[in-house]
Amino acid sequence: MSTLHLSPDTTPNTALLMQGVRFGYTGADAATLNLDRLSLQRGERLMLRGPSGCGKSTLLSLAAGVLLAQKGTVELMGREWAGLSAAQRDALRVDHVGYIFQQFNLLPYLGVLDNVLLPCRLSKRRRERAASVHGPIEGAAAALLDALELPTALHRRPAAELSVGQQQRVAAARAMIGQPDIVIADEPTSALDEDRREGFMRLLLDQCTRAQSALLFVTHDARLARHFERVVELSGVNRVDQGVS
Amino acid sequence: MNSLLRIAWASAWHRRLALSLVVLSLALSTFLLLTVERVRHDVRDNFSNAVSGTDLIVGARSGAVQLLLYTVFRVGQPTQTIEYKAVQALQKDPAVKWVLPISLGDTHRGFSVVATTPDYFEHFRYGPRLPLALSEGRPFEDVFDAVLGADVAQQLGYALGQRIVLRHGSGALDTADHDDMPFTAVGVLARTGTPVDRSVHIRLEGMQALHVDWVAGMPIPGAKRTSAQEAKAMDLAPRNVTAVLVGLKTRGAVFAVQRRVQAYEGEPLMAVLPGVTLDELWGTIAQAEQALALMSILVGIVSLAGLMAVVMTALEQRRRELAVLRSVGAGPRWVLMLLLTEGLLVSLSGAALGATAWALVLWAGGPWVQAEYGILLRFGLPTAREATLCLSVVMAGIAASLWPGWRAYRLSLADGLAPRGA
Amino acid sequence: MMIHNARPQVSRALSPRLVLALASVFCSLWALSPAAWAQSGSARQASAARTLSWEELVPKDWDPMALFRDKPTALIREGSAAELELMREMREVWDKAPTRAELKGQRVRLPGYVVPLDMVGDKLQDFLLVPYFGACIHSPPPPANQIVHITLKRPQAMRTMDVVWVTGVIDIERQDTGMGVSGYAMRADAVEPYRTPEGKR
Repeated sequence: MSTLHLSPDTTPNTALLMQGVRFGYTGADAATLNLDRLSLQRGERLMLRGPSGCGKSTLLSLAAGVLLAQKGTVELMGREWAGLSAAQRDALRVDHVGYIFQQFNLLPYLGVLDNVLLPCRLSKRRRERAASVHGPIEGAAAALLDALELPTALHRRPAAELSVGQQQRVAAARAMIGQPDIVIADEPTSALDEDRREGFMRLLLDQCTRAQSALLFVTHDARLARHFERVVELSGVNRVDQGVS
Repeated sequence: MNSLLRIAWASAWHRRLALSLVVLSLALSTFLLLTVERVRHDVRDNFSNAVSGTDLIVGARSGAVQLLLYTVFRVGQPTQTIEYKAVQALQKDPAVKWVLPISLGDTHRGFSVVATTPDYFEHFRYGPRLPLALSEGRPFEDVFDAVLGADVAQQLGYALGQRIVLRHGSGALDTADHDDMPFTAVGVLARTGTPVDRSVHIRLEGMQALHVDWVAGMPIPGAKRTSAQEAKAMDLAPRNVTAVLVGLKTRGAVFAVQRRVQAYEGEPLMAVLPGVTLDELWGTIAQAEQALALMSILVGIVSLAGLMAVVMTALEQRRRELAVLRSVGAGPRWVLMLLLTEGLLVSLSGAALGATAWALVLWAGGPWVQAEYGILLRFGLPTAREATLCLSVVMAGIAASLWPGWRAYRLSLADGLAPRGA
Repeated sequence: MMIHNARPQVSRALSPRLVLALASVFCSLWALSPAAWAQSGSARQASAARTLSWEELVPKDWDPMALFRDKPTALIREGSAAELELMREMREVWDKAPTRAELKGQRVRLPGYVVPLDMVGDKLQDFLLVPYFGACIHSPPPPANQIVHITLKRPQAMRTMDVVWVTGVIDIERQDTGMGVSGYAMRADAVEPYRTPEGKR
């Protein structure tokens, strides 16, 4: 257990805080990310808009503790990623973060319910929080899927048999089971067609509210901005994009 | 741990088509290893059981292994005969307790005919020093009496009183049949698990009677045949025998007796120690056994190479999957464990399948092997060596998964949540 | 890993039709194989020939032991010089053994053991047919009227002491082949493996 490192800007309500972060891939000439400050409060919804490219994924990887910044600090729930060992980072990630990819979110050889329950298998905290709401965790998973309007008949099917839209909803359920403190979504609607997009956004935001999870939503689609009270342009915060390295 | 196992199982099952080929070849390798080991072990067992009660075997001077194989196991080339005078001389030797002269050369429907004296039933020992026992009837008395081994009676469906015609030599044609002098089954021996079961026992005098009209390996053509009754009235004292099984008063005298036999002036003789000769035999075939074992191991290596190849190529397509696992808290080390567990499941399945096939073949094929070759293959729990072989296959499977596992570890580490490609 | 709606294509690979096609290819290959044809062909031919027994090859009035009746053969020790002399005399008598002229030209079928004479690779062009296992090889040759010299139209793979049925026209011909003196000869139409009633060879 590392000591709690609380910077002056951290309140107990800060879900994510990135300060003075610089990151460049080894072998690359220039840095990919140069960030002054980015913070996300608990329960807050933030849309980060930017074109598809390395900068976005890098930022999310740093936020989720998969990559470590060369300069600056990244704190999740008040704990700095850099001070933890690899195993501790994996544990912290699954305890507090739900992640949604753009596509290929599910393990094709597991059933829908099993896919949703993955975080519970690896995190005691998530399991307990899921169980506290619904008793057996299968019940919690099923309830989440119902709330996301996934037909009950599909619960036991292999994940590979679902349509893309259905898979994204299952991914959302997995990200939110056990009420993690922050949900990170990497362009989750880009693979969906127009009519599905609205439905997905509505369901996702509903559930985030219910679980009181913060949402860090990254997309290139400006039209989704109307769902969010806070929208940040990536080029506005990443000095690399501004031509400053 | 439980979730690791479940996910590893689901993952392996998902790719069962490619992996099943690996499982099959691992099963084949396990099957080969176990079969070679079991046959090797049981053949040695069988052979030493057959000779356990005899101290020395005396015959014409030839090869020791040839003499042993022909006399005790009735396989291989016939040896020269020795005179009955030599048998009588042996009997007079002070260190000798009993002698059992035997004469071979005839067959009955594929089973060997052994001509010997009534002492055979009293002195012959096999296995853990067990004597012969009759399950039916009595030992031979009349010149044309026969005592059947257990397999002979069972496979040919013979009962007491059965008339049997013996054949000179081991050919398939009935031209060499002694039709004019049939024998009668008067006794059946209890099962011994040795070549005794596959033999028809008659008196030396009976053998002599069979060949009155024979010369140089064939019946005298066109000549009048001597009838059985006429033969009985003739002098049927044996003149030659194939070999003599010797029992000594004390085992320690064996080398002294062996020397005396070598020095016998009447004709060139040799005395062999069955145990020592068997070792010589095993030494001769050791290379063949090693070649077989090596072949089985090679099959195993090929299977494991296949496992590695299958898993490696699948890894490229699994990068997204690894990113998903990463996002739910499974670190690179967990991914490594996942791949090792998959390898464990595959090799465990392969070894289990191979062992099951081996047990089935032993159970179903054992009786056939016994009927054809006289070798008793024991169907029972695996020996320590066999269990070790199975375990080695499983361990090798895990070891083969180390490289793909390591690669998956590196990939997972490098890709993080944003796998390139796929 | 593409996760789409499409079902895997693999299940179509082993359709019943494919299995049936493969099976019929194998069956036709087997049916057309030379071995199958040779077997059925020779079986048809063999049915016209008369099965001969070895005793029929010996004239009824021939008594090979006539010369030895008065000799005290029982007293001769195996391996002694006297025995060797006896064997030599017998050999002379047997090599001159008479044949039955009335058999000449008959189409017969005879079972026996193979004693190879002339090998071409692993195939035999001609061989001796004898009635006893080990004759000429492990034991002395039988009398000449119990040896048939067989020649084949086409070389055939056979091993020493194989048991075979030989079908062909028998001829009277004495020949010292080196393996033994044969009194009969035959140009064989067919040579088939012999099977005992139990189906063994």
